[in-house]
Amino acid sequence: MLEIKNLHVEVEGQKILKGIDLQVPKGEVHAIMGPNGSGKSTLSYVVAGKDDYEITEGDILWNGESILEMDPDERVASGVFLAFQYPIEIPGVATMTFMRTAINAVRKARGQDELAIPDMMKLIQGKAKDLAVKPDMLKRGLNVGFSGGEKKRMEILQMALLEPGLCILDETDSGLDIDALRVVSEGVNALRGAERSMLVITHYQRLLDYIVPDKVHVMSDGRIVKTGDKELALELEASGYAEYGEDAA
Amino acid sequence: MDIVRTEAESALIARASDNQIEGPEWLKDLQDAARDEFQSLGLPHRRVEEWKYTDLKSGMRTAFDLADAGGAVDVSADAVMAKLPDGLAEREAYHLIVVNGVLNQGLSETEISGGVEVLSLKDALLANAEWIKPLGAVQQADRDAIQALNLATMQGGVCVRVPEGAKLDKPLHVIFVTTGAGPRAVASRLFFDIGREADVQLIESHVSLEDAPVESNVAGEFIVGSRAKFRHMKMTMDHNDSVHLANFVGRLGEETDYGFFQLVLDGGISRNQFEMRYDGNDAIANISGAALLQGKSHADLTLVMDHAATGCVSRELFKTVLDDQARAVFQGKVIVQPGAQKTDGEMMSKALLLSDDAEFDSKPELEIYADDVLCGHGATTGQIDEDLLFYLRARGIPEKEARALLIQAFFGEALELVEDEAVRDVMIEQAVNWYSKTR
Ligand SMILES: Nc1ncnc2c1ncn2[C@@H]1O[C@H](COP(=O)(O)OP(=O)(O)O)[C@@H](O)[C@H]1O
Ligand SMILES: [Mg+2]
Repeated sequence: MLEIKNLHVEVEGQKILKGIDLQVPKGEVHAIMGPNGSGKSTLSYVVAGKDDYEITEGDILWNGESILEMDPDERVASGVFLAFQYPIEIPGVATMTFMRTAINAVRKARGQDELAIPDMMKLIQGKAKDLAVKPDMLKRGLNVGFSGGEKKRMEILQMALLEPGLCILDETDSGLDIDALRVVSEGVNALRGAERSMLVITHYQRLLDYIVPDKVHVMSDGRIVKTGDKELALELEASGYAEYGEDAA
Repeated sequence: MDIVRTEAESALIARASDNQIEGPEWLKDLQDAARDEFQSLGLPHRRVEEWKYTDLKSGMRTAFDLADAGGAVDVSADAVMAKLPDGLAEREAYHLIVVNGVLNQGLSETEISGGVEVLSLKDALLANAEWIKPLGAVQQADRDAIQALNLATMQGGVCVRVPEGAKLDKPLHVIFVTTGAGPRAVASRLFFDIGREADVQLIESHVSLEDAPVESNVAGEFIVGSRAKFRHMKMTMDHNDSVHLANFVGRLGEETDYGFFQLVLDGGISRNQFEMRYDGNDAIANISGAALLQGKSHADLTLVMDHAATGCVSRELFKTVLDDQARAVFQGKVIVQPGAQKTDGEMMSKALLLSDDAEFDSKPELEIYADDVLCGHGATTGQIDEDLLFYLRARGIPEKEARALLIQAFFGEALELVEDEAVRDVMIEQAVNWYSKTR
C-alpha cells in the first residue's frame, strides 16, 4: 500500500506540492487527473526518488515504511516503478543490454539469482511480443529513434519485466493513437492484481475507458482537490478543467 | 645566446651524438641534421605553438637510460604475449616483436607470403634497397624536436614493403616490448611502403615486461599506394609514469582507404601526432580514437590532415573520458590546399568530464584555400547527464553501474569504428575494466 502524507515539495524555492494526502491500497488502481502544471509529474518523480526536489514536509510510505531516504534504485528493488511521461533516449546503450542490466540488478537487490543470458532473452522476448515490441527495437540504442508510441510501450515492457508492487504511469496515454492505446492498456491491465497498487496519471479521461480505476483524484495547484469514483473522470471530461484553474481550450 | 638546457635535454643531446645507427651515407647525413636540430630546439615547451598544451621541457624532468638493444636481451615470446591484454594475443596475426626498440627476428614471424618483405630497420638500412630511401623524408623537412630526436636516436624498428596487389591474410601485429631493470627509454621506427591495391592491417601494441615506466619515442612513416587499403590499430599498456611520444606521417595515394584507431588508457604523458597528406585524389582517411584518463594522466592528440588533392575525405572522431586531475589535448587541423576542391572534412572531439579538476583543451583549426569544399569541426565538453542517470536508476540500476553504462555509451560510439571484431572486443573490455578498476 502506498501512503502519501501531507507531502510538501519545493523546487528552487518554489512550492509545487502543497500538502498531498493519498492512499493507494493493494489491489487498487487510482487515477490522478488534473490540468497541466498542477504537479502530477512532480509527485511521480518524488515517489521515484529524483533528487531535484526538496521535501519540506510530510512523508511517503510504501508497505508501511518511509522511502524518503532510499535511493531510486533501492525503491525499484522494493517494488516502486515509474513509467515516465517522457522516456529518455540513451544512444550507445543497447536496449537489450539495458534491460538485462536492470533485471539482474533488481533481482540481485531482491536476493534472487541473476538470470543467465538464455533465460533472460526468453523472458524479455516473450514479454516484448505481448506488447508488440519488435525484436529489432531491442537491438537499437535505448529509445533512440523510437516513435512516441514505441517509447511508451517500452516503458510498459520494462514495468512488466521488473515486477513492481507499485506502478505509477505518468501520462502513458499521451502521444498514443487508438491502437497503441489499446495495446498499452492491455499490457497494463494484465499487470493488475490483488498484490499490486497502481497510480495512473492522465490528463484525459480516454485512458480510463481502458484502464478502469477504482478511484479518481483531481489535482490542482499542488493539492488533491476532489476524490471520487470512475464517474468523476466522465464529469471532468464534460466540464473540463476550467474550475480547477486551467483555461478552457 | 646561452640556452639553459634541462638535465633531460642534456642527456638526450648526448644520446643523439653517441647512438647513430649503422647505415648508408644518406642516413648518416639525416641523423647528423636531426641531431643538430634537436640540439638547437631542445624539448618542446609551451612557447612552441604546436606544443603549447604539452610542455615536455617541464613535464619530462629526467631522460631515462636507453634500454639495452634487443639482441642482447633474453626474452621469451610467451612472456611478451602474457603482457598483452586478454584476447589480443589470440587474434591471429603475424607477430613482430620489437624488444627495446629493435625487431627481434627470432621471436618474430617475418616470413609472409605474397612477396611481403619484413626487415629490421638495421637490415633494411644495410641492404639499402631503393624502397627504403624515402625513410626520414616522408616527414616534412621542418621536423619538430621530437621527430628530430627519433631520427637521431632511433635504436631500430620495422620496415615493411607490401608489393602491389598483395592482400595479407592476417594483420601484422607489431608488439613493442620494453624490458630491463628500472625506467627505460626506447626509440623506434615503423616504415611501411604499401603498394598499389594492397590490403594491410597493422596492430600496434606497447607493453613492458616489468612494472616500470618507459619513455618511448615512436615514429611511423607510411606510404600508401593508389587504391590500397590500410588499417592501423593502436593500444598502449604503459606504466602511469611513462612518457609516450608517437608521431605518424602518411602519404596517401589516389583512392586509398586509410583507417586508424587508438585506445589510450592513462599511461602518464602521451602524445600521438599525425600528419596525413593526401597526394592522390579521392582518398579517404578516418582517424579516430578513445582515451580514458585518470590521476594525472595527460593525453595529447594532435593531427594535421593536409588535403593536397581533390575529392578526398577525412573523418575524425575522438572520445575522451577524464577523471581526477587528468588532462587531454585535442589539436586538429584540416588544411585544404589551393585546388583541392570537393574536399570533405569532418572532425569531432568530445570529452566527458567526471571531475571538476579534469581539463580538456581543444584547438580545432581549418585552413582552407579552395572554395568548393565541405569542412566542419566541433568539440564538446560535458558531464554525465543527471537525467539519464536518474532514468537508469529508476530502472533499478545502482548509481555506480549506471554511471559505468553511460561512460561506456559515451566511448562506445568511437569504439564501434574499429572494424576488426577481435581487436574491438579487446578494446571494449580494456575500457570497461579501466572504469570498474577505478571506482
Ligand atoms: N525542475 C523544475 N524546476 C522548476 N520548476 C519545475 C520543475 N519541475 C516542475 N516545475 C514546475 O512545477 C509545476 C508542476 O509541474 P509538473 O509536475 O510537471 O506538472 P504536470 O505534470 O501536472 O503537468 C509547473 O509549474 C512546473 O513549471
Ligand atoms: Mg506531467
